[in-house]
This record gives sequence, C-alpha cells and structure tokens, in this order.
Amino acid sequence: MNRTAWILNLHEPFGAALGRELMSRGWNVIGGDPTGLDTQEGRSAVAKNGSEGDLPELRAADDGWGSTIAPESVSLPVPGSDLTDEEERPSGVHIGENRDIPTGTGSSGLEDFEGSVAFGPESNARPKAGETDPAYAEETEAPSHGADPNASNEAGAFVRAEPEDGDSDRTGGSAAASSEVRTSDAAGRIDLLVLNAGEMAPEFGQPSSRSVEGKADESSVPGGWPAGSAGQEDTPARRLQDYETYALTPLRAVERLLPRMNAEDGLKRICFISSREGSISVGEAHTPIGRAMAHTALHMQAKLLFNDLRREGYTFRLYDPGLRPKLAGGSKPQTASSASDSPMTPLSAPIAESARFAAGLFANPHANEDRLVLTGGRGEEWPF
Amino acid sequence: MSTYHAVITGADRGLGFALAEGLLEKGWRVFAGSYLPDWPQLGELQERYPDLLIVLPLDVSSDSSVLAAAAAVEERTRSIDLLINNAGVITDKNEDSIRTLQDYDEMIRLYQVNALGPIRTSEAFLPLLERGELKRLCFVSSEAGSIGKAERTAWFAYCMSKAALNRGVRLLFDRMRPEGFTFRLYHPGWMRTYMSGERNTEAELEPSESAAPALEYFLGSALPWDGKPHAIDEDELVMRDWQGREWPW
Repeated sequence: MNRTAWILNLHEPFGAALGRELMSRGWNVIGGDPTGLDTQEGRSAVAKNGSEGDLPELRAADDGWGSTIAPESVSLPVPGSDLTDEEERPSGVHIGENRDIPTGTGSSGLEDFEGSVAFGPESNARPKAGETDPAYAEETEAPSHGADPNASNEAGAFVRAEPEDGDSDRTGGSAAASSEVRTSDAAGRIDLLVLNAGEMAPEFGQPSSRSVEGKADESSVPGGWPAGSAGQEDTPARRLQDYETYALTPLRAVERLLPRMNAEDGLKRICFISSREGSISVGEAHTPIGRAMAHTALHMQAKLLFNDLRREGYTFRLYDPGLRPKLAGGSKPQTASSASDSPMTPLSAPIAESARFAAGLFANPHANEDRLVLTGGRGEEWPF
Repeated sequence: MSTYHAVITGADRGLGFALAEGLLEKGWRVFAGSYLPDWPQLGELQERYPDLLIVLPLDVSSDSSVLAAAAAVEERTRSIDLLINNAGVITDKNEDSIRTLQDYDEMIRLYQVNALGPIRTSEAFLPLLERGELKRLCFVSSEAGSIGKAERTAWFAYCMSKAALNRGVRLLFDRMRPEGFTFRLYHPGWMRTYMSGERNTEAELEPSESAAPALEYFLGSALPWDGKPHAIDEDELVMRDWQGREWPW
C-alpha cells in the first residue's frame, strides 16, 4: 500500500498522535499548518526521508522509532522543579523529540507497562514540546541527537509563519514551533484529508484533572468546564475567531487540497475532526457559544461537501475525538498542571486512545458510506 | 392593559417589515431596527403609526450599534416583551461549489449578520426582556440550517451561518429557559424578499403570507396550523416552518 494522508495541524497533540497511528499502519503522513492556508502559496510540511529537521513523527517512520528511545529514558519526572528557562529555550521540535506524541520513554514503570500493553511502546505520555511541565524539566536541554530546530536544512528551508492570533499566549514557545512549516513539494497526491481544526486537550469528561493553578487563572463552572458567556474567552472577537478556526480553516484546506485528491485510484476520503459541542440536540449549555456554533457550522460544511463530493466517489468521516478543544486563553497552566497533578497518569493517554480509534475509522471502509454521521471515540453516534 | 413592546431587527422591508406592520395592527408598540436609512417603507409606516412605531438605526453585525439600539430602547421603555431576530443576509456566491474559489469575506459577513448577530442582539436586550411580561425571543432561521435535511451542495456561507445560529439559539435556550424566557425558532419559507439585495420574484411566498403565521407562532401558546390547537411545549426547542412543520437539526 502506498497511501498518503494530509493532516491539518499535524503538530497539535491529536493530529500528531493520529499521524503516528496512520504511519504505524503503513501510511505516508503529511502535515499542514492553518497559517499557510489563507495565502495563495500553500505551505505544507512533507514527509521525506529523515533528514535532520524533519518533523519528528515523520522521521520516526523511517527509523522505526528505535532512535527515539534510548537517549531519553534517563529522564525522570521532577514535579515542581523550576522552569523559568524553559520559556527561553528554542522550543522547536527535535528529531524523535515531539513530546506531543507518546513515545517509548516512559518515566515510570507504570507508564511503560500501560503503554506496552495497550498501544505498543510508543504510547507513553510526554508533555507538549515547549510547554512548562515541571515533570519534564530536565528535558529543557536540547537532546544530544536533536537538530537545531531553527536551522534550515538541505531539503527545504523552514518558513517561520506568524502564529495565529492568540497562539503565543496559548502555548508559549511551542506556538512558534508549530507554525514552523517547510515549503516543499506540494503537488503530491492525497488519499486521506484530515481536517483537524483547533487544538485538543485530553480533558473531556475528566473535570477532576483540572488543576488548582488552572482554576486560579480562569473562571470555571461546576464540573470543571470553562465558563460560558461569562468566561474570558467569550468575546466578540473570540466568537469570530472560533468560526475561522473551526469552520473556515477546514474549508480553506479542502478548497486548496481537493485537486490533489482526484487521482483515479485515490481513496478520496475527507475526515473532519469536530466536537459534540456542535450538536444542537445534545451539546452542552456551558460550552463557549462561539466555539459551539463554529462546530455546528463545521458539521454543516461536512454535510454540504458530502452532498457534493459523494457523487464523485468521495467518502467522509466526521469524528468527535471526545477531547475538549483547548482553552484559547489560559491553557498553559492547565496543561502544565494536569501533568503535575498526577505524574503517574499519562497526560496524552486519552489522545492516543482516541487517535488510535480515529486511525481505524478513517483508514477502513465503512458499511454505509452514504450517510454522514458524527461518530464519537467509542464508535457511538452523536446527533446533529 | 398596558401596551406590549416589541423589537424587530431588519425591519426595513421583507419579512421584518411585514412583522412590524402586523404587530402595529395588533396595537403593539414596535421598535423597528433599520439598516437601510434610505429605504422608504418604514417612513411610510411611521406616518400611519406615529405613536406606536419607533425606528432605530441597527446593524446587528456591529456590537456598538446593537448596544446603542438597546440603550435607545431603554430610554423609552422599561421593558420589552418580544424580540424578533429577523435580520438576515444572503450572498450571490451561493452556487459557488468547492471546486471554485470561495469568498471567505462573504462567509464572515454572513456569519456576523446571520449567526452572531441574533446572539449579540439577544444578549443586549436580555435585561429589557427580563422585565417584560412575555420574555419571548424569536429567531428567523432557515431550513438551510438543517444539517439533517441539507441537500445543497454549496451555499456554504448561508447554510453554515444558519446551522450555527440554531446551535446558538439552543444554547441560549438551555441557559435562559430556566429564567422564564421562551423561544421561537422559525423557517419562514421561500419569500419574495430582498435578502440578496435584489427582490426575488421566483419565490413562493409574499412576506406577508409568512408574517401572519409567524406572528401567530411568535405570540401564541398553541400551534396555529393544524386545525385543532396543540399547546407549544415551551421546554422544548424546535425549528418550525410557516406551515408548522418541524425541521430536524
């Protein structure tokens, strides 16, 4: 099989985990960054042979994960250690060092055990690159095998795109890293287009993992959800930004990339990552209204594209990973603390699990391709 | 009995104008949101109802305009009973398929007016509605916002804005229904109106033909369409069309 998947927001934890899952099934995985989509010059990061500076998850496909394990296994979690210099660290992703993705370098025996049983050696939790996680303070030093993330390389120069509005607040240094994309061959064909809008946090239905720090920083409602209309992230600008992020960016990607999906023998499959927040019938009332509405718009978009392109043999997936879209305003303390709350719990286990299910859902045929269904992370159907 | 008060957005012409006229005939005091100062119909209506009709400039896509309108209403009345979010726009880019260049500025414009506009307006008028008797929020949506029934293959800007509106209304419903607010969500049918800027002469309904059942639905407590009255369940939000049919989300 020689199939290629293109994933919007490949650097985002869910996108990265999905990319890795697909690669483990033999797919080629390409990533794109939303900041490149509103220009006429499309930019994407393309998986090539693993030259230095390639996306780590793509590199991993070439070396079979092996090189990622040994150098990091020495690190241990140090909860509460001081992190100030983490902020200043050039926080690009390093080869084999994308901490969004579970790797086989668990910091505890329990994690190793869980990972090896459930998902194979790559499934242990690592905090997101560049984020201030006390548990991984020791890794602020560039690993010996890592390439300078800011260096250009022979395969193609890095382009440092401007982060989207609010990104720099949201994820600190990693925003710059995630918007680092390479101009490269953009003409290759695509079988599977994954529209992974926004950024997911592994907290859906796990309000208890929200931290003391996080609560200090943002108003919460009982159950750990962000406050709705009273919350700091519900501003007129944010509502419009949510539409751009969750609805228009995917549409731009489809418009841009559809010509690359027309190959006679291509899979012709478009997958939307959405959220039950957009469900009019069952969506929660204390979801930020702009984000909920934007997800509903995304469902409509998927339906309209389905109506049009199904006739040409395209197939569709609409998936709710069961992860809560990350808070736009105050995610930093939230992320840092959810790991430090309980270092024994893999931060990204829900992401890995959901991505694993998604990979199967996206890659495999479905009994009824003539109906568009919002499918949840356990295969359940959510109404519109 | 004290006079009832209503606010209607997009009342210059089309369905909004017909709704304003219908309420005035019933003796309501109407605050008519006007987006087109040069359009003559509201001025003519004001000559007929000089005491009952107040015309206000209102652009629902603008926070400051909506807040200014709410303040202007508050200067004249302590409370309103009915808010009709009627203002809506459409685009001549409807038929552009995904294979052609999409106009994202239009998508944002439609979203601002059709989806965020009613939410913004409702939030601004909530304090006035809260002091009113009816506490009723009405939204003119569209079958085009029904994902379940969607058969179009383009119309991204319009359909996405209306689907999002329905979600926003549902969210307001969930939040505000416990406070005693009641909701109506309405698909007016295909009317000969000016939503695209030009009057649509091919459509099946005159605005007044849709405004009459709309007002019955907006004001009543029973479904007016099916012969014998059925009480409207205020604890359930459904989108109904001008013939009383329920549309799926």
